[in-house]
Amino acid sequence: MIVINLDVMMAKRKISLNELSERVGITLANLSVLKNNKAKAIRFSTLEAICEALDCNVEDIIEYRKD
Amino acid sequence: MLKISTRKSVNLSIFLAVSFIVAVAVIAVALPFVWEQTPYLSKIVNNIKLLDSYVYGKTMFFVWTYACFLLVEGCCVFVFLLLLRVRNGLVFSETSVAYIRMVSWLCVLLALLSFVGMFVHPMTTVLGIAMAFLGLCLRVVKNVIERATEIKQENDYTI
Repeated sequence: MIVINLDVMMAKRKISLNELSERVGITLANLSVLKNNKAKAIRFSTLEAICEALDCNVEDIIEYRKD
Repeated sequence: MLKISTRKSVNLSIFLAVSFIVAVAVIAVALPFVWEQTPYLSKIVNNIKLLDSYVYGKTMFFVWTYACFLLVEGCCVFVFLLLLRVRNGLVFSETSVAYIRMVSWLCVLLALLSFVGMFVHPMTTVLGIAMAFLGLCLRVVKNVIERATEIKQENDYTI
């Protein structure tokens, strides 16, 4: 399964959900859905914006774990 | 061809659904008082003989008719509720799918009842076939809306 480690990166960069949503340009609700692993899909544009806001790579946010 | 806005179209559908509910209710209430005044209907009803009894035949006719009225009213109510959801923009949801499912099952029940009504008039067989086909079409529509709901949910959860 795919796991989103957004909270880990947010803690490392010391950035709140509110601030990240403003930087990325998506709503707090959507970001919360992503953070809680409830998202079904993510656009490349959103992924790019998150990586830019958190100054990290894709693998820092998205991880594959065997069930 | 005259084309009206989506909102007006939905409101027109709601008005028609409510009119249908009221019309069926009025007919159901008035039927016991007016059936004798209708020559064709009174001829059919008075000639229904069941188990060697015309009285039993007449009773069964009214039981069957009111059972049909109940199912039709049920269909109309669910259609009305579905239209309200359409008006509020809640088309692709589990509740809407449930409403369509209910209408399709009520149509199938009406079809079965129509086949039973062959003792009243052989033409009810045609009605039964029509209702069964309508029920089938609604099942297909339900499947389509269900799949659309899944796709929408997936889309809603695409960040």
